[in-house]
Amino acid sequence: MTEVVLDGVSKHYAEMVAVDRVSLRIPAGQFVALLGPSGCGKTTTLRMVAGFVDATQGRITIGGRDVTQLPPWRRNTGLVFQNYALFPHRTVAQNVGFGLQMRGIPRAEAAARVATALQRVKLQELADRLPKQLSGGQQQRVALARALVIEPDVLLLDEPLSNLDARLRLEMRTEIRALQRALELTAIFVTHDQEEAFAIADIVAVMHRGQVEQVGTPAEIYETPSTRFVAEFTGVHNLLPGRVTAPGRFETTDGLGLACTASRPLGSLLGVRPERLALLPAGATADNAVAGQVVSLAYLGAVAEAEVQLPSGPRLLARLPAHQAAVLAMGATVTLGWPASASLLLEDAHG
Amino acid sequence: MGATNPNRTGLLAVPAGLFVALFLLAPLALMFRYSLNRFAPGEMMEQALTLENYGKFLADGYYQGVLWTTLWTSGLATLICLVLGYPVAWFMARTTAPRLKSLLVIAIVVPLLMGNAVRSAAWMVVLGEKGMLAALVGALGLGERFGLLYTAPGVVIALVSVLLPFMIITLQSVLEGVSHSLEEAAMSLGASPRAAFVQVVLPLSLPGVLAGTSLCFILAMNAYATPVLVGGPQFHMMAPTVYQQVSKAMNWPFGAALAFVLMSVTLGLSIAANLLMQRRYRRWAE
Amino acid sequence: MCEGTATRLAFAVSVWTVIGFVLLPLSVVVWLSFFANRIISFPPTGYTLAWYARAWGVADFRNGLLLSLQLGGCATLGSLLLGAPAALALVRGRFPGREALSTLLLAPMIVPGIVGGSALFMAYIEFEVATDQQLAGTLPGLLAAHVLIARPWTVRLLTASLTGLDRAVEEAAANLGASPRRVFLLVTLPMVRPGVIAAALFSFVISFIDLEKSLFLVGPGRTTLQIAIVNYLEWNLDPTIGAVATVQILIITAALVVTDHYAKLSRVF
Repeated sequence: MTEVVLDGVSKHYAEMVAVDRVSLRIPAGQFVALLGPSGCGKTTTLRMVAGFVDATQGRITIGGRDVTQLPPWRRNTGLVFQNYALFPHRTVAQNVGFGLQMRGIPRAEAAARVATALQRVKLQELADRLPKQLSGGQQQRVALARALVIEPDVLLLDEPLSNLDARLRLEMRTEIRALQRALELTAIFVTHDQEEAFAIADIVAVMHRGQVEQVGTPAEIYETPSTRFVAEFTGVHNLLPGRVTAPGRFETTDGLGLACTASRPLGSLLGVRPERLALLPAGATADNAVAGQVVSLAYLGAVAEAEVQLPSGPRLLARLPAHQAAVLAMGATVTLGWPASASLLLEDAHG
Repeated sequence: MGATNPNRTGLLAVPAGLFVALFLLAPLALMFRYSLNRFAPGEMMEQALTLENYGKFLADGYYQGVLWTTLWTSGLATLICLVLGYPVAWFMARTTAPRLKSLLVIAIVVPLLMGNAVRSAAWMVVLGEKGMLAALVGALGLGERFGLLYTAPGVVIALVSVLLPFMIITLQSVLEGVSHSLEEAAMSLGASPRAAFVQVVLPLSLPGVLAGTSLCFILAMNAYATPVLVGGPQFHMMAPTVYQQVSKAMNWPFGAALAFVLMSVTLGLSIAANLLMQRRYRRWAE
Repeated sequence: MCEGTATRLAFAVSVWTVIGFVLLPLSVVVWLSFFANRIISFPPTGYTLAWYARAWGVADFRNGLLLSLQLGGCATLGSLLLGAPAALALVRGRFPGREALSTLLLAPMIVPGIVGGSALFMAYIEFEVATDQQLAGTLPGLLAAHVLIARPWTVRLLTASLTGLDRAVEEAAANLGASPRRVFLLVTLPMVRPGVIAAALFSFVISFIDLEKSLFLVGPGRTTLQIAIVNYLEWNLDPTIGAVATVQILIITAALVVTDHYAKLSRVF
């Protein structure tokens, strides 16, 4: 169990800043997801922890040990690559045993540890196969076993699930999480998939343009995104510009008066998640109720998405239970409602 | 194109195939037949079915010496090419800046396209008794008249310079295929750069090492301009000897036999090396 | 940080030294071509451009250059005419013996030049004895030898180029109403153009710098530039050779630059 701390870590390239003063404390045994779109600096951050990218500024400590100046092979991190990076000329067992060989572990002990690691990822039968004889999911397990067998101080995962199909992705996600818990490992996981990050991590750090925009539990990120970017990236599709006119009152630029919670005094945007919008039956009331015309309908199975054109200008996207949406028709006039607590107040500016 | 019959598409290769048959295979067959004839001074040769030309090669210490010189010169030059070329190829394969990479490729390829005559001429100028090297050695006060022209080391140096681009290009293309993330994986598992190289990069690049050494060895074995120009009249390698027999001595049967010895030794060694490698790496090298 | 700075520096120095070694012969001959002194000594006593004029004055060099350019051009054409259909057959054809055919077509690259050259020379003489038609020492005889060694390069480069071509693009054109002929002319050909250009360059250069194959086949007053250089060097070593070599370097570099303009060469290798 090891704590990992990034303290004001930056990476500057000749013409750009890839990572900009990232500070992050990852408590021992916690699973952290670095979430963001491609180019946000999340992979660079991970590679700085692994030691493949030199930090321009800042300090990285693993278990209190300053590793900023240490080369990758002295850091004792277990890294799982996006493309797995299995050694094609070595068998599964030899791949998994590589780190032990490098540490000079005696043969017998190494063999036993490799066997345990393979058992953990349920691959003991395939120990003598070569990587190219394995399926993508199996290769992924080998990569995981190889990173785990060295008992790393921190497990680093660089989009490890992105090359798997949807079903396998779910399965591996659960398995990685279970292994990390069982071994009480500190882990950093890089992904651009919000659902994946929320499902697997204790803490999510949303990154944008080289900076960490928000750190919190999945619930905190989801319920109270602190910036417009975090809100949009985590699925707040409906954003209405305007201003707070009184505690709990927001007036949009096109004159709509909306209710929000009074706790946040400022904000030039009011955001609502599509799934928080509900179809109001005639006569029902809600903190916020707006009427409009259905302009598009998409049936997705469990839910349906409807786009509703408000007379004042903006369109709202609502995600409704499919059985409710079934009665809707294009062009129908509907009333959408949401509670004041679902109104998210955001600053328009980034950062 | 979907409508064309893929069996008929094969007919497009017929002219090229006939051309090879007519201008390569038939002449080789004819020359092989000649190698079984008997040399008759004055009238070129007389029809026979004898192995005495090959026997002469085996019996005559001079020609065995020529073959031996050719073998060790080529082997040494190839080995030096491998040792010098590998780091350069690795450096090129790991260079990510596109401009630098193009520049490096051009720097290696341009000399390759200049021909052996011009490059050998340059080495004559460098290695001669009044050459650049001698001037340099003299200026440093290390000795006078330091010439390597018409010596075996001179030929090896010139051969290395002629063959090195082939080695570098071959190794580079294989090393490009060894993903950098494999090296990183090794390092993240505790391997120092040296260990990552020995355990991962080197084994994965062996097919390229084999391809590069075979190519260089074949080219060295058959080099003509370099031994003639840099080696001079006293340094004998196989290719010039074949030329001398066929074109100057007009001893076609023996010249033909020498040519076949040269070809068999060269191709035999390369094929043997290939088979050896294939057996060892069949499992993963596909 | 990955390695000791000293180790890294030593590595960089050795790499650049080797690259310098590869480039040394070129720089030496170019430098040499400007030496004022006829007997080569270092450093030169002065510099002059006179050797270029003298080189042009040597009939063997002048005629050799012209013959080599002529041969190179014709060999390129022949190489493409024979090689391009063959490459298409190898990539698109599905017929028994395709592997064997591929080996056959690339065989001229494997057979040592001096061996193939002697064999061809003997065959030419035999042909001459039988038909009274001279081939050795004639342009057609030389040309056949040059096409023989250049054509495998066309097959190799075009095979690579055609293999990398996405058939779906051709299918898309056919689906939009193009006949097979128009698919070939409007889609396939433009897509393999870099390969064709690279093949032309290589055919030209391989022909231009060939020595071993031509050695037996040149005749009096009909030598290629490479053979003229070797013959000259057997008896002379003076800055004339630097001038000749520099002209050759310029011709080939020009061919490279022009080719690179149409097909990125760093991607060919």
